[in-house]
This record gives sequence, C-alpha cells and structure tokens, in this order.
Amino acid sequence: MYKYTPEAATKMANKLFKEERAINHLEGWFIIKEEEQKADSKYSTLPPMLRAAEKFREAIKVLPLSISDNAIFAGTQRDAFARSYALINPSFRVETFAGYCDPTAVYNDIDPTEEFSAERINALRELDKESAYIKALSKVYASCEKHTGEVAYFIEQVTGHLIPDMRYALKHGIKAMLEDIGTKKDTASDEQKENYKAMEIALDCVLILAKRYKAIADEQLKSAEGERKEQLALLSSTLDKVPFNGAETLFEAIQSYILLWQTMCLEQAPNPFAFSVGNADRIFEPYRAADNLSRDEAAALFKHFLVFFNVGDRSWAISQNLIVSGRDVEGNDLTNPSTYALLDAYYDMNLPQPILSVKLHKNTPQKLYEELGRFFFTPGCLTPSLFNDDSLFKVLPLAGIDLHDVPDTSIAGCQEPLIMGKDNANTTNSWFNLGKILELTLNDGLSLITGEEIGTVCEKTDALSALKNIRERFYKNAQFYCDAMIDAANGASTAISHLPVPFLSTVMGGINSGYDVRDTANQGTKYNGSGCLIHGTSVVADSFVAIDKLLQERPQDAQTLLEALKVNFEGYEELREFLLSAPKFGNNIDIVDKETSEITSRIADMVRAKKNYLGNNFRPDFSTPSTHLTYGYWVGALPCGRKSRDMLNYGVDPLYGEAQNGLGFRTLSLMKLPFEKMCGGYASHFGIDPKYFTASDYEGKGVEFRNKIIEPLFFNPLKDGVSPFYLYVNVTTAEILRKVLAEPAKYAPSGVYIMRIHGTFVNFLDLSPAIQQDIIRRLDPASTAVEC
Amino acid sequence: MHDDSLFIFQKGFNYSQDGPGNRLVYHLSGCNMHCPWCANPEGLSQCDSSTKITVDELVAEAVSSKLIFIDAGGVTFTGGEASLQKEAVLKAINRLKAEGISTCIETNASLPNCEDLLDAADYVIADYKTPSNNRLKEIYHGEISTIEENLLFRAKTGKPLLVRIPLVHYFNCSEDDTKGFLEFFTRLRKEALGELNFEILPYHEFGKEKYIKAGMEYTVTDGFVTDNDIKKLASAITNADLTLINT
Repeated sequence: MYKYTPEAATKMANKLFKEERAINHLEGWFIIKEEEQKADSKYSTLPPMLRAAEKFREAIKVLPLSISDNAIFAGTQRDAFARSYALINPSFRVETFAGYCDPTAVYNDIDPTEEFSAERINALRELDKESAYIKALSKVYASCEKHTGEVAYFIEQVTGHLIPDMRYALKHGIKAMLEDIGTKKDTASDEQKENYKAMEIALDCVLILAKRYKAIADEQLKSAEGERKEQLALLSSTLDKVPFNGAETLFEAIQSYILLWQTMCLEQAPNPFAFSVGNADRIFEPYRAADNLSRDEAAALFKHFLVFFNVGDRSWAISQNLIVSGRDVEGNDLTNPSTYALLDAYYDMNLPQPILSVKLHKNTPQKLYEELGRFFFTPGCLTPSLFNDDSLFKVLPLAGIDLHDVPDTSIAGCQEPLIMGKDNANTTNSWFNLGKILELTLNDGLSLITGEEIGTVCEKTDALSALKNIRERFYKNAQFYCDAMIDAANGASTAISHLPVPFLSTVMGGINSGYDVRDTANQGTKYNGSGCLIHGTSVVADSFVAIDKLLQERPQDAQTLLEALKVNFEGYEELREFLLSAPKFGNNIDIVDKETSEITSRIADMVRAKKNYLGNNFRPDFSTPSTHLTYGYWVGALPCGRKSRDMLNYGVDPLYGEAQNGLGFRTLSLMKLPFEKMCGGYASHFGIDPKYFTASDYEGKGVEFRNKIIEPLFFNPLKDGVSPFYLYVNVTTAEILRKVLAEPAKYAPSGVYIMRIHGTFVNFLDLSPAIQQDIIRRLDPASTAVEC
Repeated sequence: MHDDSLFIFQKGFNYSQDGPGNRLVYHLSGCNMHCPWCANPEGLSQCDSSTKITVDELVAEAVSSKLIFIDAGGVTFTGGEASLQKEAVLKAINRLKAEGISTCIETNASLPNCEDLLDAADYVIADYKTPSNNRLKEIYHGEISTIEENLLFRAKTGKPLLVRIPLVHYFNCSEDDTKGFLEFFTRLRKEALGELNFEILPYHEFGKEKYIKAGMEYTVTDGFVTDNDIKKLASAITNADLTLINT
C-alpha cells in the first residue's frame, strides 16, 4: 500500500492551498439550492425533515465534483460557502454594515456570468423569498425593526456554530449508524420513525459522495502515471472502505472525516459559519497510534486536513475552530502525540483557517508552552486562542452540563464553549447593546444618532433626578429591551426550524433522540440553549462612575451633561475632560471595577433568566466579534467621555485607551468579573509587545509567556472563585503592522500575514481597511505594558 | 525629600526579572550614576514629569494587587536609583512587610549609609558594573569601595543577594575586567551567609529610542558583546564555584 512521505505530502498541501486561493467565484451553494428547489414539488407531501433529506439527496447526486492532482484526500467544503463574510470583504464599511440577517442577501454574492445569469440568480432568489423559512424570518425582523435599526439589540437565525461528534462515525462507519437507526426505529413513535427515515437518507448522501469521488479517482487512475497512480489507487480503495465502514488508519480517518464534514456543511449551504471540529488531537490520536505514524508523518497528513478548511480566495469558511489539549475530569493532562503533530502542521502551513484553540490547565506540561512559543513570537504567524480548562470545569457544570461531558468541551466558532456532539446552543441568536440602551435611557428614548424615537419605559424627569437614578432607569430599560429581544430571537429560531438538518442531527445525538437538531417542540440534542452576546459593559460602568463624579463635584451641571451628549461634546470640551478624568475600568480601581462586575452580573442574570423556544435558558456571552465597532457606530456620546459612533469596549475588556497602567493592573481589574456567570463565553484580547520577552529561543519565550501572561491570569492560586477562561493575543506592535500594510511584499512575501481579529484569525492582508485599523488601535500597548 | 512620598516615573508588573515571582515594580526618579547605556534615561533625573505617590497610596495599591503576586512575588523598588529616596522607600518596605508583602530593591549600591535599607528588603538585586575605579569614574563620581562595602554588608546579613553585571563591550569586557570581577565575587562568596547569585546582563539598546525621542544623544557605539564574551565571563564565574542564574 502506498505511503506518503512527509515531504511529498507537504509539497502537495502547499500546492493545493495555492490552487484554492486562486478560486475567486463560488457557486456550488447556488447549485445545491437550485436542485433542492427543483425537487421541492416532488417531495411536497412529505413531512419536513424527510422532505429536506430527499431534496438534499437530489442535490448531492448532481453537484459537480472533482479531485485535484494535488489532493491526497477527496472532498471540499467549497460548495457550502458564498463569498459573503463581511469582515474579509474589501467593500465592508462600518457605516453600511447591516448584520447577517437577510438570508437572501447571499444572492448578491455571485457575480453573474453566462452560466449563472442575473435572471437565473433572481429567479431562485424570488422563489426563496416565498419559502416558509424566509417568510417566517422576515415577519420576525419586521416586528423588531424599530429596535434593531440602531441596534438596541439584534437577533439572527443561527446556522453552523455547532460541534459535531464524528468519533462514532469514524470508528464504526455509517454502516453502524444505519444499524443503530434500525434498532431505534423498533421503539420509536411515528414522528420519530419519519425522522429516522430522514436520517437514513441523509447518511446515504455521504455514501453517494464517497461513491462519486471514488468514480472520479478510478477515472483519473486510468491515465495516471508513476506515483500519482499509486496515490489514486490508495484514494480509491480508501473511499471504497470509508465512511461506510470504520476507519483503521489515520489516512482513512481523515478521509472519512472530510466527507462527513463536507456533507454536514452542504446540508446547510450557504454559509454554515463556525462549525467546529472539537478536540482534533483526541479524535485522531487512536488512528495515528494504530498506524504507528511518526510526528512528521502525521503532521503531513494533517496539513491536507487543514487545507480542506480553506475555501476560495479569502478562506471564506470563517470561524471553524479546532481545539487541542485539555484535561480529563480528574485533572490529568490529555495532550498526546497528535497534539504536537497538529501544531507542527499549523505552524508549517500558517493558513488563514481553521482557527486553532488550545485548552490549558494547571497541569499542562511545560513542553506544550515551549511548543506554542513559536506561534506567538513568529511575526505574521497564526496564534491559538487560549482557554482555561480548569475554569470551564467549574463554569459549565454550574450551567447544567454533566461533569463527565466537560472533557468534550470545545469551541464553536470564536469562543463559545459547547459540548461536542451534544449541545445546540444557538450561540449567536441575540445581541444586546448596553451602550445604546444607556443612550436611550439618558435621552428619553430618542436616538442621539438620528433623533428617531426608539423607546424607553422610564418616566420623563428632570436631569438631576435622571442622573441620580441612572442605574435604576438603565436596568429598567435593559429589562424591557431584553424581553423584546428574546421574543424576536426565539422567533428567528422557530423560523429556521423550517429547514431541518437530518444529517447534522445524526452526529448531534439525533440517533438517540429521534429528533432534528432544530426541532422546536422536541429536543434533539442532550443540551440546548440560545446565546446572547452582550456589548458595552465597561463603557456603561465607566459612564455610571463618571455620572457619580459629576453629581458629587458639580451637580449643577446635570442638565449640561445631557445637552453635551446631544451635540457629541462639541463646545463642551472641558466637561468631556472632566468626565474622562473619572476612574475607568482596567486600572485596578475598585470603584469602577466593581461597577463593571455588577453590571456584568446583573445583565448576565437578566439574560440567563430568559427561556428559549424549548424552555431552556439563554446563555450570557460577553463577546463582541467586531460588533464593538459596528454597534458602536449606532451609539451616541456617553457620559464616560466616549464620543458618538466610536467603538464600544471589546468583549469584557476596558475601552481602548482607558487602561493606562499596564498588564498587571488590567489583569487585576479583569479578575474581579463574575466569570462563573459567563456560561456562553466571553472575549478578551491582549496586544503584546514582543520586546517584553527576552528568552533566546521560541521555547524559552513560550515559557515566559506562561509565566508573565497565563499563570497570573488563568492559574492564580490566590484567586477565589472562577478564574478567567479565555484570551487571545496579538504579539506585535502598531508600528510593525503599519509596515506590513505599507510594504506587504517585503513583510509578507507569501501574501499571508495572520492576525487575530476576535475569536478567529485571518489573513491581515485580506481584511477590510476598517478592520485592519481596528486591530492596530486595539493593540492598546499601554494596557498591556510589562515593566523591564 | 519628604519621607512620606516617593517620586516615580513608571510602574507596572513583571515576572521574575525584578525579583522572585510576579512583582509590582516602581521605578523611582533620579539616579546618581549616568550610564550611557541606561534603558530608562527618563529616570535619570527627578523632574516635573515625575509622579508623586505617598507611602499610603503605594501600600494600598500593593495590597489591592496581592492577588497576582504569584510565585512569591511582591513589590520591587528600582530606578533610577532607589536608594536616593531611602527614607520613603524604607518606610514603604516596613509597611509592606507588615502587610505580608515581599519586598525587593534593585540598586547600584553606591550610596554610603544604606545599611538599613539593604538590611530591610527581603531581596536585593545590586549591580556591580566594573571592578575598575577608573572606569567607574566615567559614570559616577564615587568610590568603588563603597559599592563593595554595601554588597559585603548585604551578603553578611544572610539574606538573598543577586549581583548583576551589565556586560558592555567597551566598558567591562576585558581579561582584566574578568579577573577583577572574579576577585571581588570570590571575596563576596566567602563572606556571604546566605543565598548569593550572579547574573550577566548582556548589553542591549532598549533605551536608545527613548534617548532619541527625548532629544538626548546616545553615545554608546561599541556596547554589544559576543556570545563568546558572555560565555567567557559565565565560565569564569561558574568555574569559581559561584552560582550564575538567568532570570
């Protein structure tokens, strides 16, 4: 049997990536939707899940497929994605960004050609608009337009954003899953029986893909020569075996995984962003070990696995997350040889996707930190986001997750901790803008941006009373908007239930439950919830403390403050300076740190108390994936001194520029927050100047990174309660990034210079200018300075 | 100098390089030496840009930072030259110790009558920049004997002492320098009753940009040392059975 040498496989992986980046049009998703539409009438009498499966199978039968000469595995997720994701679109503007709410906007992402004419595109768009899903969703958006127009809150239907558990399918094959379904049917209700039938058809789709790819490999084999002939023979025999049967080698396991992933994504085309792999090292290690592959040999195969996640010219399939390392229930480290092989593959390829995350804990071996050093300290290299697994073992059980499931915590998308294969968290379902709510509270429900009446539930009162009672009035309005947001968010989840996902359901516990992941009446997954991303905690806290200072020192200026906010402080510069001099979050000043903690806690409780469409609680998530910019654009001037349309604070971090005393003080402020309440996740970013790390090699710098950054923040023995559990870093300076932008050919000769923007990393050069500047500004060096 | 306040030009945290563990480091304004390679030229003099912090404020800040004094960390006073504000530093050290916070000073050990300060700190990091009185005159108008007496005093207290050698090519890198270093270090070891370590700090130019920004002339042109220079001094130290560490 042919065996790839690491060198040969690596060479092919590099060529394959280059080929992918040359693809500047994506129409596969359109073909799938078109074929499904064509089949609609044929299956119109079937129940929804069965109808979805049949239509999907029709599309899978005809979707154009190919195998590149540089591919060692068959499969692509290219046909599931459009060229849509705003932040890596050069035409993205903060000013015009309207969110991801219009599901027919994707039709604008195809440039009409002879084959895909404007008429053909429009015809499908119009038909799509008539679908039950779009009609239901449009109704929801119309009902909350007044609130979402300037983003008091935002809601969306969630696609992707889950972590399938492929381990059973890899080990036992589709064959075993079909047998399991057969057994379950015996005791199933009529509805479940229909659902199981849909799952069988959906599983057949991946087998159809395997057969079609095998046919292509066999065809290519006829004219292949030399080594390629042996490679194609290996591919053909592998496709003959998996995914129908269980995998036995790492090569077979990766091939099987790729086809399962491809089918899962195609089922939700277009744009199922942020599906995530989970603990890839644990998934693949049994096969590497059985195969007795060396670190280099395994890394070479993993390189192709990583290339698979990159779609088209800008790696459009964004926020697909792969995690490594972590611990078990007893606290034992689970790092294994595949962990290091995956890290090698990541480092050598340095691709814009998939995102890498690492779970750390107090028993993480020093070797892992040493191996991570190269990621943080190589300019332009991808960096992993870091999770404190010890904290996750506390936070998730508090949110109802069984302890024995916690080792399977992975990250869906950016930073949301979910349980692999068991948890449908609808993570990005709702978005709460505390900055806007404070603005509306201070201005009697009128927008400071447009003058429109958006709403308040507080009585009108004089300025002094309004400011004295600002907290009470703010929380009252927050509750009003929270209630409205949750209603709308649940409406969006109900709307998307019109699009069942039988294939996904088979790797999310659906074979056990007999229900679809998106079912709104019966829970298809072991765990279920809905997400709420909460924005603006520290700007609101800074504002409350600034108001207190004003009331204490110059109460006669209460009315003046409200007037100053209306005109964005123009003509009130002295007052603004006074407000800016009030204590700000991020400097270890108790009064404002406690205020931030209080707001975080109360809003978390408010959100957590709300129920989703299945009666499960919402999950507070304090992350702002570039929405600190886009939502900040709709927020007027605030009493903390922040000007109209400026960004909000990022995640749980201080507002840019407000933490001036360096890393230690910022860490101390951060540690006062109630992380135990952040079961939906949170975001935090440190921009770190590499000069603070003086070890002579990457390994030493990795250990220094642990000592200076990670240990104090994550594993501090003096900290009571739950420690912080998430961090991403960019180890660079604004000066370096400006040089990269000015002379990309010199500083990024490969055309790829990886940076993190929030939970994801991207090619810095692919980003829209607005986001590039955001990265540079938020490096915020004074907030992370280390003494030396 | 009012002994209830300190003048600082910078503060922040660092791990292990300014004493054990994670430490809150105060850079005190003003220095009696003028080393042309200094990484913190903004601290050479006490000026308008210095920030005044009372001992009460400093202690309160340290107490509120206890949470991240991990790995036996605490507070470090550095410079400039910490001993120039001896009375206030001493007061702060005693107050911090009463709060159970570890204290450290980084000093050039050149001021006379510093025994009380050198005795009070839990940890002392002292520079020994040159064994040559002539060389010392280039950066300081004082006697090397004072520095040596101060180091010997600290060593004899039995409390930890780390001696640092900033290795600068034109300044202290000759065979004679190595010989001179070893002569004193061996004597120090003989007298020391407690932990005594040595560390070489190879010349760097972290401060150069600050000189330029401040409109000051950066005069060092032959500062960088080779790996071989470092190895030679390191071998000499370890061969003399002295403990060389790298923080």
